[in-house]
Amino acid sequence: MQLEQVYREHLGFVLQSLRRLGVSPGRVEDLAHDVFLTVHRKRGDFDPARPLRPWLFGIANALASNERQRAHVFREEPGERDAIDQGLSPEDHSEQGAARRVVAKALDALDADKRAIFILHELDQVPVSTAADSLGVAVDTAWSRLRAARKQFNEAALGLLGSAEGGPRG
Amino acid sequence: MDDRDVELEALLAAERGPSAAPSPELEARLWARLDASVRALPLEPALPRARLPLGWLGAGVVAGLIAGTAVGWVLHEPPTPAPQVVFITTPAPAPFAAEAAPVTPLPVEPVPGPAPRKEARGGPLTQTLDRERVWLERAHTALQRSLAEDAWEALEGHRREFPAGALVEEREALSVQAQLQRGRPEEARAAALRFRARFPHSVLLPGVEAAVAP
Repeated sequence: MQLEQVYREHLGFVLQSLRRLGVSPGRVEDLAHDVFLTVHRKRGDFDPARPLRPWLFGIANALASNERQRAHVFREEPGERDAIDQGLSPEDHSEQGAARRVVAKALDALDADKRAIFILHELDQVPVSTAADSLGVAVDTAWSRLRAARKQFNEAALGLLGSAEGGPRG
Repeated sequence: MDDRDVELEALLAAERGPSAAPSPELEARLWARLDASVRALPLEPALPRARLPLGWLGAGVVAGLIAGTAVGWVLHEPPTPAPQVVFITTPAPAPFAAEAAPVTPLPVEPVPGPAPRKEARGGPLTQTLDRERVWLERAHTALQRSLAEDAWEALEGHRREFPAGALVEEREALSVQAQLQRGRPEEARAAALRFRARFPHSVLLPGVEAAVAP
């Protein structure tokens, strides 16, 4: 397997993951680079018997976490987030486009740890045990975070859907 | 499953599925940066071991070359062919093909600054960055060969031509290493302190501090 092959096949996934993790648009490209450079440098740590994408996500999550500690490079005002931030076209007025924008905003309601497991399991559909391993947490912890994440996400998403339709959802 | 569950599931379904393919321009630009970083990683298996912890700083500088150049660096045509970089997944990786490649020694005599590349494409910004990179790559290569004065000369060349260039952070990190190799530890420590004050969040800082650690 070659680095270039990994890059070509998974760049879209890495960019999407970084956006979902809340990395600011201006830093997504730099962090994507850092993800693949880390892949190159930690190639010996990767178990080829395991799926690659959860490992890539784990690297992206660790780098995003470092970024998060530098508040000035992250969005500080939630209101600044818009469709472009999520890599979504503002011209996309389709039902799917609207749904994805709701998901992006609802993800913002999650704590970082919960956000990571939610993305990996609910969106990328990675089994919890694999996701836990990729994120470096115990399986029980991953399940606990996932349950809490689902609750937070659902509340946020339903609130957004309600406000979009002119009233709160019960 | 009630209506709300159906709605939530529809939301998630919309977000699932294959990720959008990046634009060809973004893919090419990012690969050019990544490729440059991989090329500049220390060539430990093929070179005499450096007297100083170049690995840390070299790898950090590479990362910094990326982090510090969040500007439109579009290379329509790389200056040199991309190396065949082998992605190895075994627990004990062998040297990469690029790392094991023979290297051409630097000229002993001081060489003039990098001439503009006639084949360079893109706007002035691209060409300027290309020239900056040439200086720093020359310095980095010289450090790998323990040619401290050559490295220092290259760094001075960059400093003269690009006092406030896009790669100042990388230059100053390499300057710490160069001062150490020149046998000037006090100057190196002072440079490291200045670096920390100027770039407190730099990805190069751990390498800089490791280089001057007692």
